[in-house]
Amino acid sequence: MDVDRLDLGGLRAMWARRREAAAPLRARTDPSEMTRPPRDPDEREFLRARGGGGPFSEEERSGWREWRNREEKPRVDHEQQKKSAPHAVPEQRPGER
Amino acid sequence: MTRALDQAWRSDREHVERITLAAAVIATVLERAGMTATLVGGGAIEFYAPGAYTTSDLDFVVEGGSREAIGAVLTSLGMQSRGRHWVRDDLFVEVPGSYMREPADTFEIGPLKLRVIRKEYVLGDRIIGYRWWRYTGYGLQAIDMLAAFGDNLDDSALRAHLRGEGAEDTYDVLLGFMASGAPVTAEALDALWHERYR
Repeated sequence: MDVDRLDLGGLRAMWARRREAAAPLRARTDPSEMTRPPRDPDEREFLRARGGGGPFSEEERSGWREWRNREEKPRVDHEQQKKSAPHAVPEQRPGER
Repeated sequence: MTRALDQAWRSDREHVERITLAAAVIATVLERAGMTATLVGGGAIEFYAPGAYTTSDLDFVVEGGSREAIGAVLTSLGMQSRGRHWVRDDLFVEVPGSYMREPADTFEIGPLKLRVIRKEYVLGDRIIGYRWWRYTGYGLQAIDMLAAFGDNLDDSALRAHLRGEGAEDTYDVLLGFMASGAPVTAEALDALWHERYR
């Protein structure tokens, strides 16, 4: 398979439309000092060594990891859970301030 | 397919094309080995809204295979195992999960197939990250995607996803901020969060 012969026309058109739509917002955006969750240390080291870490600074905040890791499990039906075990569902997330 | 991956990644193409083609090669090879790989996270954002402040790593949720089976496929593509990840040149692949609960869309690029988490869900997760953990970078990515998508968004699906996570109002807050024309800075997003949620 020759990747250079693949037709990306439809995707390129989509990307061009979306770039154009986002351009005014990007012109008034300054991402410095913005925050994101911490990366895995291996990933951080790998990206940093290649200058690819992106513009955001990493900050650990309580509860993020637990929420992200929920992806491993099927969704809990919170409404159903509230009915059957109301105390099991916190009203506020750990990260709320 | 190793050659195809090299052709995709070691090219002078723009970043979104390199990401898309490399992800499609990897996902297709995993599919041929009986697994279903879905692009999530920053790679999915880059695919849907190129330039939205993302990086060069690819995160896949891979269903239907053990880590050993996934590793065997990625190694066959010339990738090296590095801790919990796989790398080749400056391409970094992570498999953060083995269960995909959100819907996804499949894009065909010639013989390659790329399955990507549906855009309303990757957008929703950024809104949730801003709402509940005050990550301003996620707020920016959310606003950037909202601007890029415009009307091409399943509003009811996004709202239902956010409602389930207690963040539907944050969608409206960010839409209002986007429409205000104000500069998008860390300070502004932080102030917006405090004004609404503190």
